[in-house]
Amino acid sequence: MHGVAELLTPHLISLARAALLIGPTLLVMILLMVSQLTPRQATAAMVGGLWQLPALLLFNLAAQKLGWWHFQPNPASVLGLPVDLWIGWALWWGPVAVLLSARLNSIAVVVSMMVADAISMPHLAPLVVLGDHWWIGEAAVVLFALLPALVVARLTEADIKPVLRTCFHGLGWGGYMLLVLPACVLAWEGRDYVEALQSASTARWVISLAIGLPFLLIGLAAAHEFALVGRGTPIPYDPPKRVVTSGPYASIANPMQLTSAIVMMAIAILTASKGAWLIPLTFLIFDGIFATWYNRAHIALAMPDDWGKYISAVRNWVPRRRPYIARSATLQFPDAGRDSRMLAWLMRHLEDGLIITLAPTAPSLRRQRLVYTSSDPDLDAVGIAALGRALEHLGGLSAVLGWTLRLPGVRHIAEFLTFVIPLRRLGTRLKMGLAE
Amino acid sequence: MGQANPDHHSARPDYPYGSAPLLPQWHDRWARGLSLLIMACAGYSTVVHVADWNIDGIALLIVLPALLGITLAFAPDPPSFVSRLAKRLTTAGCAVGALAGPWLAPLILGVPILLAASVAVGAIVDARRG
Repeated sequence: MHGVAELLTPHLISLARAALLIGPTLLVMILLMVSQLTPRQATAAMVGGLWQLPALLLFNLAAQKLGWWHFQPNPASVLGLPVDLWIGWALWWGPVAVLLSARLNSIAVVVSMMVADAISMPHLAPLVVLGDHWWIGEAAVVLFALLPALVVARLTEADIKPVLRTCFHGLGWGGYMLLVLPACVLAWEGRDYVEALQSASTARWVISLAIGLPFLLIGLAAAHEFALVGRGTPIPYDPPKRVVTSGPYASIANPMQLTSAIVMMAIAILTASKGAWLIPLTFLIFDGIFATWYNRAHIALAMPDDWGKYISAVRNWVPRRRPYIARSATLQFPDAGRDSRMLAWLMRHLEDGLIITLAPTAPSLRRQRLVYTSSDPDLDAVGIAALGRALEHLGGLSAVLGWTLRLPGVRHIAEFLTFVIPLRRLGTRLKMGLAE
Repeated sequence: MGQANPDHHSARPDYPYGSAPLLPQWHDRWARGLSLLIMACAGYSTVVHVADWNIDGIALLIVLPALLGITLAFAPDPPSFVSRLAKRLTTAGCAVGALAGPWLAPLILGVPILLAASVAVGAIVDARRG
C-alpha cells in the first residue's frame, strides 16, 4: 500500500468528505450563474455529469478488484464508493470540467484535475487508501470517465456527430439501467449488487436475459434511429430535429421507454429485490404521464403535421402488427446472380411500399452494393444498411433483423464479412469472364 | 443523404429550448419564496440533527438537497404552465428532501409522481378554463 506519513483524524475525514461534496456543488452553482449559458451549453454540462456517475462507479469497482485504491467503509456507500464522494467527483469531472473547459484550454483543465488528484489523494488516508499502482487506475479513469465526458459535451454543444453522441448515451444509459440504479436500490436495502448477481440462480439469469436482451436491442435500435434520421439523441434536451417514424418507431411510439421499464423488470427478477420493482414502476409513471404530455407540448407544437399523422397511426405502448411505412422505396440489386437467394426471398415476401429493381452489371473488382432509395431521403442507404431498411418493410422478426444489421458495429462487421466471403467466388467468376 | 426532405418538416435549429442565455431569475417571487422555504427546512433539519450527525451527513442529507433546490428555484421558468408547476413542485420536493434524512434516497424515486401530479393539475386547470 502507498505509504502515508499521517492519517486523517475522524473529524478531519468528516470535514474532508463534506468539502469534497459541497465544494464542487458550489462551484457548479457559481459557474452556472456567471457563465450565462445557452440551453445547449447547459445540456452539454449536464451530459458530462450524467456520464460520470456510471463511469466512476464502474471504475471504482475495478479499482477495488485490481488493488488500485479502496474507500473507508461507510454505511452511505454504493459498491464501496461513498455516495458523497461519488456525487462530488461526478460534479467535479462533469459540469465543472465541462464549464471550465469552455473558458480555458481543455488540456489544461484535464492536466489540472490530474495534478489535483495526484497531490490530494495520498493525503486522504484512511478515507481513501491507495495501492502501489494507483496511478494506473487514475490514468484509466481519466481516459474512460473524464475525457469521454468532455468529448461528448463538446459534441453536444456543437450539435455534431449525433450517432457518436448517441453511442455515448447508449453506453451511459446502459450503465444507469444495469449498474447505477439497481446498485443504489440494493444498497438502500442493505445488499450488495455484485453479490446479488453472483448468487442469482440459473433460472433467474435465463429469465432475465430472455426478457432483457431483446428489449435492449430494441432500445439501441431506437436510439440509433433518433441519431441517424432525426440527427438528435434520446436526451430530451438534445432531441431529434424531426419526427422519426422509421426503425422501431414504425411499430411503437415509445420503444426506448418500454425498453427501460422491461430491462429494469428483468433486473428486479434477477436480483430478487422488492425495491428494484419500484424503478420500472416510476419509469412507467414518468413515461406514461409526464413524457406523453411533454411530447404533446413540444413535438406536437414544433412539428404538428408530421406528429399528428404519426401518432394517429402508431400507439405509444402497443406495437402495430404491420409497421407504419409512410414512404415508398426502391431496393436496387446490382448483381442478381450473386444475391439470388436474398433476391428470391425478398421477392416472395415483397410488401407495399417497396419496389425491387435489378441493374445487372458485369463482374468487376469494384464493389457492387445494394442501394435503398426512399421517398424520404433521410432513410436512403447503401450495402448492408440498404438490406436492413428493406427488411423493415416486412415487419416482425425481419424488421428486428433489419434494425440489428444497421446498428453501428454490427453493420461494419456484416459489411466486412460480405466483402471478404464472396471474394473467392468473384475471383472465379472473373476468371470465367476472362476465359469467355 | 443530406438533401432537402419534401415529406418531412424539421424543427427550428435551436429546438426545443431556443438559444437565449439562461439567466437566474433573482427577482421572481416564487423563486425567492421557495428558496426561503428551503433554507428554513434546511436550518430546522440542521438544528434537529446537528448533535447526532457528523458534518458529512449534514452536507449530504441537508445541504446538498438545499443547494440543488435553490439552484432550481432561481433557474429560468419554462414557458408552459405544467412545466412551471413541475419545476416548482420539484423545488418544494428539495425542501422536503432537506427534512427527510435517510429517507432522501427513496424520496428521489417519488419525483416522477410530482411530475405526473403537475400534468394532472395542468389538465384540471385547462378543463376549468374551458
